[in-house]
Amino acid sequence: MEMIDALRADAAKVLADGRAKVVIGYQARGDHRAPLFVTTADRAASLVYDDACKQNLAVYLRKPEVKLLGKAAVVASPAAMRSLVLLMSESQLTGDDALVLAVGVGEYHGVLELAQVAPLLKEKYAALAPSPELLREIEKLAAKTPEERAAFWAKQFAKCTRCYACRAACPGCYCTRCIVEKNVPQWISTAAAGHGNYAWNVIRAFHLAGRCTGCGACEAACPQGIPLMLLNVLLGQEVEKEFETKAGYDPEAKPVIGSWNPEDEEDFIK
Amino acid sequence: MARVGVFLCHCGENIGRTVDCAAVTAAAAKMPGVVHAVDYKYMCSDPGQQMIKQAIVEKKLTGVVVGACSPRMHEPTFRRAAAEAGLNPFLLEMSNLREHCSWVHEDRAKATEKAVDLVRVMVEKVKHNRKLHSIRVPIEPTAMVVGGGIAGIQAALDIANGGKKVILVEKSPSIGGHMARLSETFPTLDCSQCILTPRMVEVASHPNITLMAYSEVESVEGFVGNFDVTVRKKARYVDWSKCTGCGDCWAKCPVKKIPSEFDAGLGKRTAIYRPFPQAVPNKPVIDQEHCIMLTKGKCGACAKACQRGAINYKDQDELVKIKVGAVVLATGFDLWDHSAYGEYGGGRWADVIDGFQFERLASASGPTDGEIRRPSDGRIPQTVVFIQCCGSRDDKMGKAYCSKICCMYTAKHAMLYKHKVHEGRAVIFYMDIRAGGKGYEEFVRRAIEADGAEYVRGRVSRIYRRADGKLIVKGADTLAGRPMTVEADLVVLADAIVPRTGSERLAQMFGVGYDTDGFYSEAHPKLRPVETSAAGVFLAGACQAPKDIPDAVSQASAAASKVLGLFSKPELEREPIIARVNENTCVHCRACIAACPYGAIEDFEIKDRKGNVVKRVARVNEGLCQGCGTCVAICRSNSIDLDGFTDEQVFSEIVTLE
Ligand SMILES: Cc1cc2nc3c(=O)[nH]c(=O)nc-3n(C[C@H](O)[C@H](O)[C@H](O)COP(=O)(O)OP(=O)(O)OC[C@H]3O[C@@H](n4cnc5c(N)ncnc54)[C@H](O)[C@@H]3O)c2cc1C
Ligand code: SF4
Ligand code: SF4
Ligand code: SF4
Ligand code: SF4
Repeated sequence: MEMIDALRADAAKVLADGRAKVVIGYQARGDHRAPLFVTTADRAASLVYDDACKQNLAVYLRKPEVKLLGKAAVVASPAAMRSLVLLMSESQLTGDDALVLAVGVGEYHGVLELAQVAPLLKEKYAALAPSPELLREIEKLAAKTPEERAAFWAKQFAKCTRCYACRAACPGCYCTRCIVEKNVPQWISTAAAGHGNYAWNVIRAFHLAGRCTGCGACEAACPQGIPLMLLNVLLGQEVEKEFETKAGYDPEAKPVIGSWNPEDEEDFIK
Repeated sequence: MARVGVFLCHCGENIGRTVDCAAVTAAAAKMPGVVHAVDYKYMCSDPGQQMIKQAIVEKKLTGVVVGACSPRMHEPTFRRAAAEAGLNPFLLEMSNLREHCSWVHEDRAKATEKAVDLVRVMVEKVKHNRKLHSIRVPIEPTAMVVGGGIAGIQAALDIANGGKKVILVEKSPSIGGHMARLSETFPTLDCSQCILTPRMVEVASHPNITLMAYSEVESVEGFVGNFDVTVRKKARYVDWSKCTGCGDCWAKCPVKKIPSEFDAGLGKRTAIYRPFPQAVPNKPVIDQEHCIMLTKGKCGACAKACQRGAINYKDQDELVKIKVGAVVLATGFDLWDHSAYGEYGGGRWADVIDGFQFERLASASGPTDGEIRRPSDGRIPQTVVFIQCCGSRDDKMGKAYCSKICCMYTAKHAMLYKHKVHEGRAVIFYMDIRAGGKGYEEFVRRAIEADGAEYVRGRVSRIYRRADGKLIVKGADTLAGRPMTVEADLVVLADAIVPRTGSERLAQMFGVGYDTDGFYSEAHPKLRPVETSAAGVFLAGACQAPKDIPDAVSQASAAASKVLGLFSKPELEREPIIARVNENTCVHCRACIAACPYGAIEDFEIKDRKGNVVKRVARVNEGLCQGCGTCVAICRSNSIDLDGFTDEQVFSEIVTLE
């Protein structure tokens, strides 16, 4: 059986059995792939899955209007599955909040309970790496002087229109009131220019440091073509180096920036 | 409308010398919201405080800024004055014009300009201040003393005699610490055991003291007035409630050659042992590392010998949770390991010994019954060389500091030796003689003049062992300006005093600071020498710095009086500087819960009227929060604010500087 047929069959089955009330998957709109919310088994045949599916559907599990539909089964790639694990580690998802239609690399893993996701990732996708092109870009950036790098990012961030599509696309950006929207006091200017743009983009990246699961949904969503993954992966590499951990593999993980223990290495203080 | 009063202090000359206070006052008077601005020579004095109180009433002030010294110094003073005049004390803020300005700058014009900025920042802040009210927390009137050396013993007895309960936690099988091992003590040469053991017995029998020997602190939670301490009672393998201390067991133990810690390795002990005959509690423990029964599963000699059936090879560590209101740390010291000094033999030669080994040789209850016999062959040494500052005052190989007590005990050692071996030579190599203390200089003079100790000013560069067993000590007499060689039978090194191993971990558990050498840090080197930066945790004895017995005992009594002072009230007033979660915007990511170093943030379920959970959020426990602000920085959605340092306050301070 083709992978897509198995996926459609599983979607129909979980809906028919009542194990899920809605299946969140992709549909084709020409070359474009859009999310599809399937609530009846007979519509499962409209589901598609291919390389053009850039959006991370895990993002919908936290949305109140989606929650109203009832328990969801979500189509998830390995990176999106990592997002699910991240959400579990941050108490945003618990055991039976959702089912997963797990699409792997070149294979389909069937219907999984949330608890089965992390073991699958550790077994099969522990070494998910960014694309070689991206790694080359990072190397190029690393070769620049700090001044050149700052200038590079200033130029990129200047393009930002503050549409916040990146934020809406990211499962990790689940705050109901983002810090940029705090206006008493207003730390970050919301005007789409200069200092405020820089602040927003840096804060977005920092809030995802050690949390970004590398799905690329933000960059795909950005209408301005800002290379957000360059920043995300760079910070992810730093975190991996300093904290020896990668986001989205351990549902019990403690936040890297916010957790500590007395045995932590502290060369700077004694 | 805000009505702010600004009060600028000259601090005598301290601020006035560098800052033009009149100009700052004039500038402050023009700041928006300021209705009153004055300067005065000493704002903290009674007339100064009166000025503030009067203005609060007469000018109906809604906020006060005092530009003076550090708030650490006088914030309580000024806030009390404000409260007396009917203003909520948290509507008063201080600008630090001394430590942050006049003391660190020289250019008067620029310093004045900066002082104006510092005042303006606080004027902006105080306009956003809200009334806050002190938090009251009940105090558990039981103290814990960690470490049962003379310092811990004294602190425990003083607190207990003050009518409060004490838990004394000692890690070894007996209390007494190093003092129990000393022969006679400077400056009076009274026998150490004779003055110490009655106090040890008093500890054991005091109705207010619970002694937990052979126990260690495992973890600490809570805060001043309400610490929850988990203590690990180590497996003793002997049921002390049955044991009478008769000694039948250790008489039968076949493992007899274990070097005794108490005798600094010069004597031997069995695997089931009490460290010394006067031990308190006077009951044995089994050393599991050496016991054949525990390591190989056979033997059982002690169990057979014990008529009370007290031996229990299945004994296990036990964790006990104890609630206490205050803690005294008295974990004492160790000697620096001189094997780092290759030129002194690197610890290879039995006859190059440390101070404790000499104490045991000189002690009537020691392995040689008080005769000075050298470890290698038991002969009475005819020439003994003492080397002071071994590892002290040497920032390259050892420790930069002076260990303070070694000059005195070396003089004592020389004296004790000469009292026992009249015709012997005691040669002391020293850098300086530091004998500051009552009767100390006289004591050293006695060693030199009455007992004929030969003091040589200079360092020893090398010691080597000749085939006949003589230790050849090569040094220099810097006063005479010539090299010097002494053929010695015994060398005693006055090793540096260092903190106990493991003391850093204990400090971390209690949130106490320590210096680069590991000694515990007092809250203020002059004015708060027994407090620590952790409220309710006090220091006594050599864990804070090298100390002799009188100093250790004085500090212990001081710590006890601090504890009793704390316990004199049923409740504690705490500054209401605590964090608050905005439950509307919190998304329950739990980052703050993991980050809070005081475990002060909890999960909270918001329920509707029917009891259904509508939202989960983080909530701060006011009793536990210490106002450190860690959570504020961690929260991505910026949902936490710190009372007294709210985002709005800090933001207004920053914006006014633009
Ligand atoms: C060779 C020598 C000779 C000396 N002669 C004199 C003298 O003649 N006159 C004089 O005034 N002073 C003398 N001193 C100094 C004297 O020994 C100290 O001043 C005194 O022992 C300090 O007492 P303390 O209670 O602070 O520390 P300690 O005696 O070190 O006691 C600390 C206690 O705490 C316990 N402990 C440690 N860590 C822990 C833990 N984590 N948990 C629980 N318990 C713990 C230890 O087991 C010990 O019982 C001499 C010192 C030396 C080295
Ligand atoms: S999606 Fe792109 S343009 Fe929009 S806010 Fe994010 S970075 Fe800016
Ligand atoms: S930051 Fe971008 S790449 Fe990372 S998890 Fe969020 S959407 Fe995916
Ligand atoms: S860090 Fe902020 S959003 Fe997360 S649980 Fe704490 S208060 Fe809530
Ligand atoms: S301010 Fe926050 S992190 Fe600090 S003690 Fe209070 S709750 Fe914990």
